[in-house]
Amino acid sequence: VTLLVLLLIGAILLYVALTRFSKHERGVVGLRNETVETTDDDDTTSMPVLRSDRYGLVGRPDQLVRVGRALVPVEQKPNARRLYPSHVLQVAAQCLLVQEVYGVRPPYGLVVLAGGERQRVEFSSSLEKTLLETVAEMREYLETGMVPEPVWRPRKCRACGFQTKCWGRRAE
Amino acid sequence: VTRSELVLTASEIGTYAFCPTAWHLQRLGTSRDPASVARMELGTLAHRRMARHAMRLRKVDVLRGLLVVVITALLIAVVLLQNSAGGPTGP
Repeated sequence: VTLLVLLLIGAILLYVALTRFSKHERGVVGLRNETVETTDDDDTTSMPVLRSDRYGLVGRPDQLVRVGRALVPVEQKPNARRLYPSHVLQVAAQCLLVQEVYGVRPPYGLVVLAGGERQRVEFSSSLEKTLLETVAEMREYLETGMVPEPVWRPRKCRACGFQTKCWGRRAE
Repeated sequence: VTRSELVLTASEIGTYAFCPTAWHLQRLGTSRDPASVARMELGTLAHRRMARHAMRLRKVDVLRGLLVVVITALLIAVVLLQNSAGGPTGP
């Protein structure tokens, strides 16, 4: 009995230590009570590439977490200080893919910014409509071979890796 | 344009929302400015760090789940042993 009691105390202490560690890690990756189902760069669970033939989309979220019956995609943006429309549309595309592959619509997607700050992006029908309109626009460029005309937006263009290519090309 | 060329990735949609021209150049395989490449490499490293944290979190949570089972089993065993060692009580 003494041995069992000692084992019990040891197990409880280990549980407490792991719980504290888990809380710390949750803070870093911007999660609360969600259960991590799969994560990118993980040999044991290997995040599958989500594919939808119907929409002609593929994607691989950074994590998939379980919230009740739903799987919620998580996009990590560790260098971003705020949520941008590009993040919103990317996570919306992941939500659509999760719905297509797993058959359950995620109520929202998560974007985790610098410092583990999480932003919840509701996967509303209006966001889905915007996403599908954007996809249609992109396809039109691909099908017609048209080239999107660059527009100078100082903040965006200065942060863009194609800045010199883009404006050089326009100057020609 | 083949059917496979029309397949879009979620990440591409994000790039398009940032700037359609940047998306187009990326799709053509245009090389980025060196400063941007360095920034992207830093971003990739940060991304991998987050993936490692998430992986650790997943493993720790599985271990915590197992510990709950172990603790419950040990508690039951202790109670049963205590009861059997004490024997029946009362008048």
